[in-house]
Amino acid sequence: MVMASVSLAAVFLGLFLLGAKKGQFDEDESPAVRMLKDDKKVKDKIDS
Amino acid sequence: MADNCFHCGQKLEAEEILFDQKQFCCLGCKTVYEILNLNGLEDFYAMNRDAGVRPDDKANRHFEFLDTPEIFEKVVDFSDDGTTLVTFHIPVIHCTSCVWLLESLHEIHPTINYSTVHFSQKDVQVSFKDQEIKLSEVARLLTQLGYKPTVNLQSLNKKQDGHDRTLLLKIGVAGFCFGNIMLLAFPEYSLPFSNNSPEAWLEGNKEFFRWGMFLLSLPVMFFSATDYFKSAWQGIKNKFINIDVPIAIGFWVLFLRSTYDVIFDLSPGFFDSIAALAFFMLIGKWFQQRTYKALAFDRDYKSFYPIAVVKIKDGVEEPSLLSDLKVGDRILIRNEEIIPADAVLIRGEAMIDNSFVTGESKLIPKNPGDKIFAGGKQSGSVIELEMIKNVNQSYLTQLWNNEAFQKADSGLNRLTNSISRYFVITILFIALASAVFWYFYDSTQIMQVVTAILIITCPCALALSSPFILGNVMRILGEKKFYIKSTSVIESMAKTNEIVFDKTGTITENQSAEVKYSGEELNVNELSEIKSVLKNSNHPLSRILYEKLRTNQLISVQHYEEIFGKGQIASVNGKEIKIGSKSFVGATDITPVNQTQVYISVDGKIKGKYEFQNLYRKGLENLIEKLDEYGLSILSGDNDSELAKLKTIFPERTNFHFNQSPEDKLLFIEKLQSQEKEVLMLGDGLNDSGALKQSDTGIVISEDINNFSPSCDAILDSKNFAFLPEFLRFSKLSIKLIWTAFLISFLYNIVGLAFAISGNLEPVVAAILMPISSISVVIFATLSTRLSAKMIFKNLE
Repeated sequence: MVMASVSLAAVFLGLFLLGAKKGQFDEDESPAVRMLKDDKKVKDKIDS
Repeated sequence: MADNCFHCGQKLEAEEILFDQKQFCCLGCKTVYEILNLNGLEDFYAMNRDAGVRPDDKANRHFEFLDTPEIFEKVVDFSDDGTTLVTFHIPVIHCTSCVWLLESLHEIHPTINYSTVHFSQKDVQVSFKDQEIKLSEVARLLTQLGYKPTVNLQSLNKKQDGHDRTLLLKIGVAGFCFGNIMLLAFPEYSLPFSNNSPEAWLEGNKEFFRWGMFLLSLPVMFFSATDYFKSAWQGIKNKFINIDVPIAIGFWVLFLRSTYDVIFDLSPGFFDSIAALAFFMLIGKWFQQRTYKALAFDRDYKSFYPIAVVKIKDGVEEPSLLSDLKVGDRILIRNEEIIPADAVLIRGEAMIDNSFVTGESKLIPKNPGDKIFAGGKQSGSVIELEMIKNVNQSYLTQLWNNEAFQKADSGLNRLTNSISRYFVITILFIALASAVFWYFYDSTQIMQVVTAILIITCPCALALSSPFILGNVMRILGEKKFYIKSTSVIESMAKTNEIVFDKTGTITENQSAEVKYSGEELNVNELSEIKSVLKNSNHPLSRILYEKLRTNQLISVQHYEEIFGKGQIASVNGKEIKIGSKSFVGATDITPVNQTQVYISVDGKIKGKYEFQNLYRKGLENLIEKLDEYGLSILSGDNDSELAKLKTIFPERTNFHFNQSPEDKLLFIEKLQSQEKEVLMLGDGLNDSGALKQSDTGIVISEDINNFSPSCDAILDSKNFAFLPEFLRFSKLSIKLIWTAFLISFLYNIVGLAFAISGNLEPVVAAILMPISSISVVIFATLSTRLSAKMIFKNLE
C-alpha cells in the first residue's frame, strides 16, 4: 500500500518536473487569452 | 456622447476624426481600426474597451537598416529555408487584447506564419516568410498597429540563457518528500494517542517506515537545501555569519541526529521536520524572488541608442551597426533619431532636443560647424554629421565609466543578517550552558540535549518573516504603481533621511506646461486659425500650444512655411498668420530674459503672446509638507529662473543647486553620503543616472513606466508621485513588522528551548512546533502588511 501511494506520488512529481523543465510555468498570462481567440480561417471555410 | 477615442480610449483633445460613425483621436487610431475591420478582427474591441494603443505619428518608421545582412543576422533568432523567426520587444503590450491582436498577425498579413506573445516579458515572436516580406516591413506593420518594436543596442545582447527553473524544481522535490515523509511518520506519531498496547504490526514495520523516511530525506538534503549550505559556507569563508549559517547547522544536526536515532533504534527521527523546513523556506525564497520581469532597472545608454545609423561612405548611404562606427565617419540623422556620438554638424538644419540628457525639452538650433553632443534627438529635417568621438567615449556615455557604476549591488538582506549574528552567538551560548548543566546532572544525555537545542532553534521562522513581509510590501507597492527592483530597496528606503529632487521632469511635468496668454483677446475664429497653423509644426512648443487650444474646427492652411529657429508663417482664410519668436513677429515689449514665449501676429499686427511656465506636478506642495522630517535638496541642470517660485513651495531648509552637470549631481550625492546621510534621489533623465546610481535609493519618475528610464532601484509612475511620503512611511512600518515577526518566532523558540533543555524534545513535538511557527509567521506577514497598507493608503486614490 505504502509503496503504491509513494510511487503514485513519484509519478506526479516526475510530471511536475517535466512540465517545469519544458517551461510550463514560465508564463501564465498569454495562454489564457490564446484560448479565447477564434480560429477565423477555419470558420470562414465552414461558412463558405 | 462619450468623447473618448474609440480605439485607444484617450480623451479627444487636439482633434477629432469621424469614421464609420465612431470617433477617433488621431489618424493612427483610425488606420488601426480600418486594418482590423478589413481583416475581420473587430472582436478586438469586444474584449476590452479602449484597449487600443495610440500609434505615435511621430514614431520613427525607418526600419530599413534591419534588412542589411549583418544587422539582420544579429537581430533574428533563426532564419532558414525561407522562414525567419524574430523576437521583438514591444513595451506597450499591456492587456489581453494586445495579446489577441498580436497573435492574429497572420490574419492581417498572409506572409506571416504565426506570432506568439510572451506577456510578462512583453516580447512577441514572429515567424514569417522572408522571401515575401522583409524584416523591416514586419517591424513597420507592428508600428502601424501601434506596437512599435524596440530595437536598440541592448537587444543585441538578448541571446542569454532562458529562465532559471531550478528553484521551482527544488520546491517540487521538497514538497514531494515532505508529503510522503509525513505519510510514513504518521503511524508512530499516533502511537502515544492510542490506548491499546503498542500494536504488533507497527513494531514489525517500524524499520521499513524509518528507512523509507531516511531515503526520502536524501533528495531534500542533497538537492533542495543545497543553496543554504552553499550560502552558509560562503559566509563562513568570508568570516561573516549570515542567516544561512544557523539554518545550515539546523539542517545538518537534524539529519545526522535523525540518522543516528534510526540506526540505533532510538526514535523515528526528525525527517519530516527537515522536509517541512526546506519546503517552507524555498517557498519563501520563491515568493521574494518574483520580480517585475517586464521592467528593466538596469538600463544604461545602450538601450537608449539605436542599433544602427545611416553611414555615408564614398557618397553612398548604407546602414551601419553602431559598434562599427569610427571617429571621422559621416552619418545621417533623420527626424526623431538620436545622435549616437559627439559630432560636428556638416550639413542641414539641426534642431536638437536634449530632453533625454538634460531633462529639458527645448529645441536648440545648431549651425554647420557646431559641436553636437551625443544623446540629443534631431527634430526636423535630415542632417549630416561627422563623428569626433567614439560611441563609448562621448560626453554622455563617459558618465558610465564613473566608479559608481562599477560597484555591484550586494543584495544582502542586511536586517536579517545582522540579527542572525547575535542569534547564532546566543544559541551557541545556551547550548554550551545546558551542556555544562547536563554534564553534572546526567552526562549520558549531553548529546541528546545539545542537538535538540540546535534543532529547535533553527531560525526558519526568522528566515521566513523577512521574505514574506518584504515580498508582500513589494506587491502592494506595485499595485500603487511603484515598482521596486528588489526587496532590499525597502530597507534602504526606510533608512532614508535625506531626499534629493531633480527639477525638470521630476517635480515638473514633462509633457505639459502652464500656458498664459496676454495681449489682445482672440476670438474663436482666430483660435481655430492659429491651431490650424500649429498643426503643421513639430516644435515642442507648437505641440504643447496645439494641445492647449480648445477648439475643434480646423481650417485648411496655405503657404505654410517653418523658418528654422524662428517660427512659422502661413495664410489661413486670406489672413497672414505668424507664430514665433519676438524678433520674428517684430514685437518690441520688454520681457524677462529667462522666459519662454511664443508671439502671435495676424496680418502684420501683433496680437499677443503665450508664456510658457513649468508646470509643477499635482500634489507637490502637499507632498513637501508631509516630508518635514527629511532633509531636502533640489538639483537642476537649468538656470535659477524659477528659484523664487520654488522657494514658495519648498521649506527654508532646502538646498538649491542650479546649473548642475550630471557629474556635479553625482558628486553632490557623494558629499551628502560622506556626512553619514542615507540619500534617496528622485530623477528622470539620463543626466540623473550617475546620481541615481550613487544614491542609496534611486527612484525614477516616469510618465510611462515602459519607456526608457535610466538605471535605478525603483520606478514610480508619475500619476502616483504624490504618494511618495506614504511609500516612505509604509517602508518604515514594514521594517517594524519584520521586528514583530522576529519576536513571534523567538517566542516559539523559547517554548521549543524549554522542551529541548529539559531533554523532552520528542520528534512529534518538533514536527508540530516547527511548522506551526513557520505558518503563523507567514500568516502574520500577509495579514499585517495588507492591513497596514489599507491604513496608510486609505485616504488616497
